[in-house]
Amino acid sequence: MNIPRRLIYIFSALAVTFLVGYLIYTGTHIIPAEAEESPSEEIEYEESD
Amino acid sequence: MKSRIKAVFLSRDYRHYICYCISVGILALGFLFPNALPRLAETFRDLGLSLVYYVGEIISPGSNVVAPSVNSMPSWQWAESPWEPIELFPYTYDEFTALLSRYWSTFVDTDNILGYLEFVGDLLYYVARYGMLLLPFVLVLVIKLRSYTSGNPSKRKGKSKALRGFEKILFKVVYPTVAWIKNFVAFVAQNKKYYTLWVTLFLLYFNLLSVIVAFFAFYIYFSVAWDGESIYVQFVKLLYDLTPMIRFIPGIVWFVIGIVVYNYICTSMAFARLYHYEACNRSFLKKRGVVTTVYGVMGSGKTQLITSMALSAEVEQWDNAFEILLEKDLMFPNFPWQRLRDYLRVKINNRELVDLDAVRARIQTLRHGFDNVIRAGYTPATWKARVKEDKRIKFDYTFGYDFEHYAYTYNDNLKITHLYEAIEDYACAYLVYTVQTSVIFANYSIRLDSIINDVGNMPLRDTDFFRRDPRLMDSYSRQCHIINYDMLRLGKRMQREFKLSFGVYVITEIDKERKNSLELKETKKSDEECNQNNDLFNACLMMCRHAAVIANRVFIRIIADLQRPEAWGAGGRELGEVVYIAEKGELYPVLPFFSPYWLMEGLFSWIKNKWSDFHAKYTHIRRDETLFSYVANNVTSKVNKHYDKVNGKYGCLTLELELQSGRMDGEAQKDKWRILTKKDRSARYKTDCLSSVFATYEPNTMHIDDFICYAKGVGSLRENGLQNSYFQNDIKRMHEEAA
Repeated sequence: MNIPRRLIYIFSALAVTFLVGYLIYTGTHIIPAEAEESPSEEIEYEESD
Repeated sequence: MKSRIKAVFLSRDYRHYICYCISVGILALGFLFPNALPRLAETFRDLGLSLVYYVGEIISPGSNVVAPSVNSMPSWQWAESPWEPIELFPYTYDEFTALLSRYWSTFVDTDNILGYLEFVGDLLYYVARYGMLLLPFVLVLVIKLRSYTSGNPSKRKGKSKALRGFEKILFKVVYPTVAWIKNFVAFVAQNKKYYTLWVTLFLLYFNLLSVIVAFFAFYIYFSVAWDGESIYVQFVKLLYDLTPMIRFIPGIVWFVIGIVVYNYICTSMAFARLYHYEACNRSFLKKRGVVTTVYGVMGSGKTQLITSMALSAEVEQWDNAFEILLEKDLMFPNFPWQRLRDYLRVKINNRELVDLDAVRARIQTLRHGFDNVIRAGYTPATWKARVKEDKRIKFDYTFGYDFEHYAYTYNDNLKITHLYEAIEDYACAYLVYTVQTSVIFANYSIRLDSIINDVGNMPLRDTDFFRRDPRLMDSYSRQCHIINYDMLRLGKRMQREFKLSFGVYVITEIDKERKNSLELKETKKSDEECNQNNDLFNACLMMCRHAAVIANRVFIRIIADLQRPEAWGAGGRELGEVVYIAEKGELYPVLPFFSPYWLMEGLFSWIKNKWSDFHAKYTHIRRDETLFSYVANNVTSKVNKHYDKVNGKYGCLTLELELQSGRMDGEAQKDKWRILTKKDRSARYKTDCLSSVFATYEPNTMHIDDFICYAKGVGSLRENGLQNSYFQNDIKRMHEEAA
């Protein structure tokens, strides 16, 4: 196993983890429907979060 | 009374009482899952209604009076569920689609991305902070490590006090406990009633039984309703059903389950890749001719390559034979093939049918009988009666085939094949397929592990190299046959005449056997004795494909290796292709990049390097054993063993090959061969397979240290004279003559 292949694997695994993390993070931070319509409420949402 | 109770208790294995206690405990757990039974009952109601709905839809489509209940959320309850529901998804599909569109808008939202980056940053910050907390401990560990291997050699011998204490705990507490648990697990496995009860109870508590019933209820409903949106509802219901299980099982157990499942997925992918690579190897082999010669520099893996090729070629022959068996079976599907197989089995076991020629001769005799039966105008019934009555007829040539109602010729628009022509090919293929030992003949020993499963009907071969358990190796292994070169000689022979038949013939270092024309100057065609010029070996190679053809498939292959292609006379070499090993790749397991192996591989290499340094220094400086060295050695050994096992099972290395015709005048064609460790390195052959060449010499009595060394930078005349060199002896003689 030469180093470049190992590095490629490690970085690929990190990239996949990063992406999956973002998918899950987005799932838990979906902007509420009303917040999209009113900017003032969006600020409220962010504060409460 | 007391003694009676004691007698009752002692009369049974005490482990039964433990099992009773566990059973009562699991039953008591039922209070945590009060709605398991109502939910199961509800799924049975769903199943019943789905069945009624199914029948209703078939009788009057579109106007069904029965409303299926499989799409409504569970409502039957005995008590409030103690498990908090998992509300990851909304209850209806419409809500879900609305949420999904918002999900994607959030996905591309800048604030969300920044928020995520901030989250990752925070995470890294906390990891770094905890890492810093650990740093002083690492420092202490390094200092401690250095103290183990510092330049103050310990005079102590044997095990340290701490290690002795540790071993005491290990041997007196840990090992017996583990042994008891293993023993108990074996006991439970023997007493099926306990674990059947436990598994059933947990299946009930975790609603898994309900899920199975609900699946069938939905399946029946869906097969007539084709209601795509209801799939989403089922998904939400599934999550609802699994909530008690998800909440009940602790996070750490889920983590372990997750790792096991993840590892299983990765290893399945690795297995798929191994089978794919072996299929590629087989495809490479298919494209080659009957004779293949491999050459390459010393240590490039020539013998390994020809061994690997031989293993694949053997399986290929069996697969081809099996293909013929199926093909002929399909041509005459109503022929009683089992009777033929029984007949062949007896004849082969009695050694009446030993090779393809014997089989062909026998079937032709039978065909003659069959033709006579047809010619004489018998029907199957009259022929059967005749066979019964006439004692002179020893055997029913028709095998009981109903040739009156079923055809005994087959027309494929190319030719008309007679039943007995198909039987002849079938019998030859059967002979090849049911070989009990091996079809490989080699001039070195190769271990083989093909298993033939036979319960008296159609035998089936298990040729899967990758699923073998090495612990059982002795029970299924056998070595290949010793090659007899007389088999490959058409002209003069050393001993006796052998007729070449099917098989894979493997010859390592063929140049030493056959030699080239320069080396064979002294030998003549007209010599009395058999030699390379008069044995017609090359003619045999040219003609060998005709010796073993069944149903237009060739069942012979000759694979050889040598160091220099020129070292074998052109007459032999030019018959086939010459395969040159241009490059040998690195060995690595074929696990996918995201598998735990690759994620941990860097860390392990680092640990192993550190351990190697530490262990070399430690064993150099001191002779005692400490607790730390014990733990370090054993932990590293365990991890190393795991990595060795992974490499053994999934290891692969690629040989870059260049193919040329035997004339060595054409352009080289590039190809690949994969050496798969589980198949090719599982004690297949010894690297020193021809070491017996040196066994005839007197063993050395001098240690290497006792051989004389040069005194100075330049060897003296006397020293050079000790070389037994032609050149040095000439010089010495010249000096003596001059003097």
